Amino acid sequence: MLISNLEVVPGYNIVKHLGLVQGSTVRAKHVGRDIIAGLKNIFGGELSGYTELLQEAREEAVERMKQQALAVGANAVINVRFSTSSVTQGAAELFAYGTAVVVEEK
Amino acid sequence: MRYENPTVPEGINTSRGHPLKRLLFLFAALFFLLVIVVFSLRLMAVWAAPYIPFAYEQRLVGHYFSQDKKSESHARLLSYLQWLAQRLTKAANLPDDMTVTIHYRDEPMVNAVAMPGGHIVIYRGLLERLDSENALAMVMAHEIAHVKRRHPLINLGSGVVFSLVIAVVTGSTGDAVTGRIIGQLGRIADLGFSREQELQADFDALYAVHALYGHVSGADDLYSVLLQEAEDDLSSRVPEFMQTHPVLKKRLERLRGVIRERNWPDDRPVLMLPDFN
Amino acid sequence: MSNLVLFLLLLVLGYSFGRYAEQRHYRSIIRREKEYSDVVLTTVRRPAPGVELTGSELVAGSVVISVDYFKRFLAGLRNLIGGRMTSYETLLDRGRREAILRMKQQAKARGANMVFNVKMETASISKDGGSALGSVEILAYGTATTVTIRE
Repeated sequence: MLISNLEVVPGYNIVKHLGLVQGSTVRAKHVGRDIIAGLKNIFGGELSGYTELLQEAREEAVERMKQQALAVGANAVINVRFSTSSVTQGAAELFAYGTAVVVEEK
Repeated sequence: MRYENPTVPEGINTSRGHPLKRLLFLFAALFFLLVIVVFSLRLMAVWAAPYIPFAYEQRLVGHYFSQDKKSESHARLLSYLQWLAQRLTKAANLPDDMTVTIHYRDEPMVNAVAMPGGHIVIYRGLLERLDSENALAMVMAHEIAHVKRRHPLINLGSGVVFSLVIAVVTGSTGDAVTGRIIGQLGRIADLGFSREQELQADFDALYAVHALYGHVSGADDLYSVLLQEAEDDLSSRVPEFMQTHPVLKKRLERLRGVIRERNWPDDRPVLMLPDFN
Repeated sequence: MSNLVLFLLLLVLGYSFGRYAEQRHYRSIIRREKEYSDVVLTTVRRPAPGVELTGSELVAGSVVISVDYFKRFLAGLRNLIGGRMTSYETLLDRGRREAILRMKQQAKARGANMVFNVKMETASISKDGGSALGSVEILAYGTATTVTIRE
């Protein structure tokens, strides 16, 4: 599965457009991580717990988007966009969407 | 080039599973975590308590009891209670630096409480239902045992730290409802420990009463009274009854087991309570 | 005690009504998605070569949707343990699909059969400063146009 945020896939021809596919997930870290992040806010620095949280969420959102694309018979997703929204304190929502297409090698 | 619009199957961006099952799982997981938290707090408090001088404990609550009014009508009763407590502290081998102060409350509650600093509060409701000095001695010896084992201090300490933990958790999740729920769950997780303390205090009290009187007649009156009380109250406080009743029965059985085991006499005549009215 | 009763009542009400509303909403979404399946969406900005466009107009669809008490409580517990907050997934899924459907409806009303450059926005609008999710606003927008394919 080719994922790209370009409108074209270099070296490939787009033969079919299959509409919008999307993947989203809401995740949280356990409360210990939240407390540590709260303390880190005093000293500054990377909140590694939350970096990890967003990373996991992004991976899962892309995975779900891929599943949707596979289910409609696509072999690439182009022009992918991400959007993050803070749903609750200590939780993150990640949303990935793009256009499912069928590509053929030139 | 073609444009198509196939139907995307359901259930990719949502998870399967019944929400009630999830609720149950979350409750179980949270309860398990709380048991661990409460257990470690308890362990720490039990470990730290002997290192805290009793004088600190007294100072901690000193102001709270200093305004306690000693009304004239209860003066005789109080001096009798204090006299009995003095004999029991000797029988219980209370360390020299520990003192016990008896307080009397003119309220119908059937209860007696040990507070930090060696303060023991006895309610009129309980006193009225006990009909021998031996039964009263058992109640007081039980509370003195709590004092000796520093239970009020341990409970206060772990309670304060637990509230702090809840406050931090509630603050970092910004959710007051879950804060209250974990508070309740924590109290349930704590029940086992308070039962353990009661059992310990029961045994200590029985030894003290035996040491003082040479027999244990009337010692288990307290439990019959409390059981009766719980049954009378059944209509108004069902949940509490469900909680206390089996525990009381168990405590009574354990005590009788110890009495049988040690072959301590429990058929001697009991001492009557003096009349204060 | 009365607090506990109120809490349980809210939980039961939230659970039963929330579940009923969600199932009804999903049925309606699935029905309307079939109805508007002739409008194709794409995030791509430019049409492929050999495709002719007639007319273009901005279309948008938005929805503000809220989560029930039961799910909010479930999410509160999940926030302590960590992991996937499943109770909010359906909320966001329903919101997105509803917003897209409203956009499609607008596009179809204008006689378009395709929407280019679709973008989506999510905003959480809750009364207590975003610390607890009350409701989300989801906006979907794009350019509606009619596509004719030259062979």
